[in-house]
Amino acid sequence: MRAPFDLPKHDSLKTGSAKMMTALFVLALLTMLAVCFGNRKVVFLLSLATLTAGIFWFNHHITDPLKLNF
Amino acid sequence: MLLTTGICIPLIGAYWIQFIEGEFPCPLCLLQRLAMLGVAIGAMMNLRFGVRTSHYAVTIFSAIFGAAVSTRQILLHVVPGNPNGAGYGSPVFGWHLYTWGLVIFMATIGVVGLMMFYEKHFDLSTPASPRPMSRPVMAVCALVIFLTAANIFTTFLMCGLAPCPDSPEEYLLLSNV
Repeated sequence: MRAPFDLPKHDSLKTGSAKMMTALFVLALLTMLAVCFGNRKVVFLLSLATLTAGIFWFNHHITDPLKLNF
Repeated sequence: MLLTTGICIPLIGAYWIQFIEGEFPCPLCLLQRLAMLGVAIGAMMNLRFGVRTSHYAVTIFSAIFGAAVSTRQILLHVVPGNPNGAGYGSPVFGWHLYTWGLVIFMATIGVVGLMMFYEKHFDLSTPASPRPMSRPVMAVCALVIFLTAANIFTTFLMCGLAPCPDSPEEYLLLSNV
């Protein structure tokens, strides 16, 4: 039995540049909490950060080579 | 408030597909969920601070981002004779979830455009300060926050500390226990 956090090695982990997709949702949650706490400037800042991180991820996926076999 | 509530429906539907139908969301699917949460954030700002064009801008930018992701996924699977099957996941009412995603994002942009025609509801005479939230508004905001927290939990279970796999088939963290 492997340890719970003994994940399969991923390229990004090998290179030490681990990118966590969960972080995008963490950013969105922080933005919503800022809305609830009533800090409008922080909401705009976090919204921008979330959108920028999302676009970064989108760019990561649209530049993947396609795996089509015909 | 209708926009905030309305955007929760596809998010709950996506969880239905994930847990009841047993289909895992791909990275592009997760990005579309994120864009829907962005749409909800703009709508929540209107509820919390009053109606402002800048809040609608947050919604529109998120919807454009989501539409771009949906379009990309539609184009990925539109190739005829793809040996990997027609589309990702099961269709719902004849369309795949990413096609519905594009429809929802375009409809959001359309609805926001219509709302901007109605100038009377813009309250520019007072500063955009936090307003007390009624119980229904609090309930809707709590639902959106709950869905976001659920996405954090399930994405972490599915992908761990690494980028999500292209076609996830299991919860990585659970499969290692």
